[in-house]
Amino acid sequence: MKKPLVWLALLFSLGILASSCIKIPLAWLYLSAGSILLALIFLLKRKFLGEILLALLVLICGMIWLNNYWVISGRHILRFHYQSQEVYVLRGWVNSQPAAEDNRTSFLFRIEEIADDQSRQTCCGEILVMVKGILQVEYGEELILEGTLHRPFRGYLRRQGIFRIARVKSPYFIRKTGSNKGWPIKRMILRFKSAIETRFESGLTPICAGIVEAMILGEEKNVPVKIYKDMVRSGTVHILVVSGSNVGVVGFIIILLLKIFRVPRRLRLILCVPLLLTYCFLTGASNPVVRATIMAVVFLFAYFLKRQTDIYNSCSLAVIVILGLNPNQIFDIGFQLSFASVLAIAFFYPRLKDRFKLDQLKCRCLRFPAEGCLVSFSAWIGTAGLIAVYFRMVSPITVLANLLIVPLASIITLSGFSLLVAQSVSSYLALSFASVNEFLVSLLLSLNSLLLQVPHAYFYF
Amino acid sequence: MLNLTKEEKQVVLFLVVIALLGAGLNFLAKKFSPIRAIACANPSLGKISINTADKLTLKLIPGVGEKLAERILDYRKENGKFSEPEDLRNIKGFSNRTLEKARGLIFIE
Repeated sequence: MKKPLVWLALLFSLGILASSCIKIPLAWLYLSAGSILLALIFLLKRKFLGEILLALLVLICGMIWLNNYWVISGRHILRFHYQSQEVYVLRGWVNSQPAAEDNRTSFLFRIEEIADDQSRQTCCGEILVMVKGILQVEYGEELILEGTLHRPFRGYLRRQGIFRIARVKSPYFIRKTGSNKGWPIKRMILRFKSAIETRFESGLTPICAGIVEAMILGEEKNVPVKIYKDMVRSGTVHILVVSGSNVGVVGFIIILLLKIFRVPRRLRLILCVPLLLTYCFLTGASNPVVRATIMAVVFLFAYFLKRQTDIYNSCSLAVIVILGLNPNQIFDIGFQLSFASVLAIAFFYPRLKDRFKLDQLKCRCLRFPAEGCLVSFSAWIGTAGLIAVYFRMVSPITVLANLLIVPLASIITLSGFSLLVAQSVSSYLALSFASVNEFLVSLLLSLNSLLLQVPHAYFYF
Repeated sequence: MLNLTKEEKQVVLFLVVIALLGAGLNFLAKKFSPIRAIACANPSLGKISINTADKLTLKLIPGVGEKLAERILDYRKENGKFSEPEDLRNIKGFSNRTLEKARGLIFIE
């Protein structure tokens, strides 16, 4: 099968990386792109030369993309000269689901106007608002708030395009002026997400609710730090940040439910696409989820059209979409780990399977764990280098831990969804489902702790 | 390398041209959008209205603690709205010094 998207994604990514290393003025890049375009008009029919020029054009497109992304608008909040102790009035709207923690509420705020005691000006950009106290707001609500402006110290925020933090002394300094901004579908999805969170929190103990919420909704704020660190050490933290496997489980549940309701096969596939997209937004559309959703949608369409799919092509499409939306994501560790693990599985797993002649194993109960072991090992090969560079850690236990914990996490995801359904049917039924969830989560945590006690399970350097 | 047919090349070329055009327009929009002044002056900016603030907010005024905030609320209930900041001196425990410290941070609506 041809893999044209692989080359295009590779060239586009290379262009972005080159642009971050070499500073070339945007005008020069446009001039080069224009010249290549002109040449292409005459040489497109030429096999070799046409392809070389097209490849160059995609590379330059990647460079322009990052360069342009880094250009800050004249009205951007970053251009506004502020005094750190001075109070400013900011008008705009809430652009995220607010997070309340330790008597503090924080949310992303899309700013439209800024005013000091002298004047009022138009403005744009996104800032992080931190309010002392609990504030009841939701996505899309228009606010006028009064607070001081600060520069974020965390590089993570700056990489996300957030260059200012507004601190508000109390909810008193915030006035709601409307609720018509934002994307109505996103507002609806976030309301649905809050409702699910409330259900989990009412039916489960705090630790269990935190872990189930992380696995199903990708909301890791309620996972205790110790548990999170233990998961990082065992290389199983990907189950707490909604990853490709979660999307797979959700897709499986959707297809299964639609099958139970006797929905025709073709309609089942069509319905699965918007439901998977909804789940993608529900979990905050993080890189692994977007990647997995795009790959799943490509797979579903291919199945619908009775065409063959290629994992490298669909993965490349996901790269182009994610980097097209935000080229900065190429520097994100989540992006790198997500694609490294999938590509490593796609590349190494079939080769290892052939090498160990797993297809010749007749006994299914032996073949299944052996295959799982090879998948886990392939992912480890792909991600071990990145983990060593970013976390200064090597975790040989990862292969075994994933082999045991990933199936358990899939069962927890399934039982978490079952709990939601049971809660809507009867509280008595929900109680037994909740007990199963509690048991599975405690089993997962015990297993993880046990694995970490194995000598040389992980080591820092 | 890319192994594309003529039609595929045309599609890629079309998409790249559109992307470059979009990026260019986006760049121009960013470049030529300076900050515009809309209006001026906002006297109550960042200040606390002593006629509407709740207990938690009143506690943000320097020198005002739990008890004094409660007394301000009681005073408001009994005597209605404050007409000037000096009215605060009628409250037990609200000294001249506290009023001076608070003056820059409060306003009357």
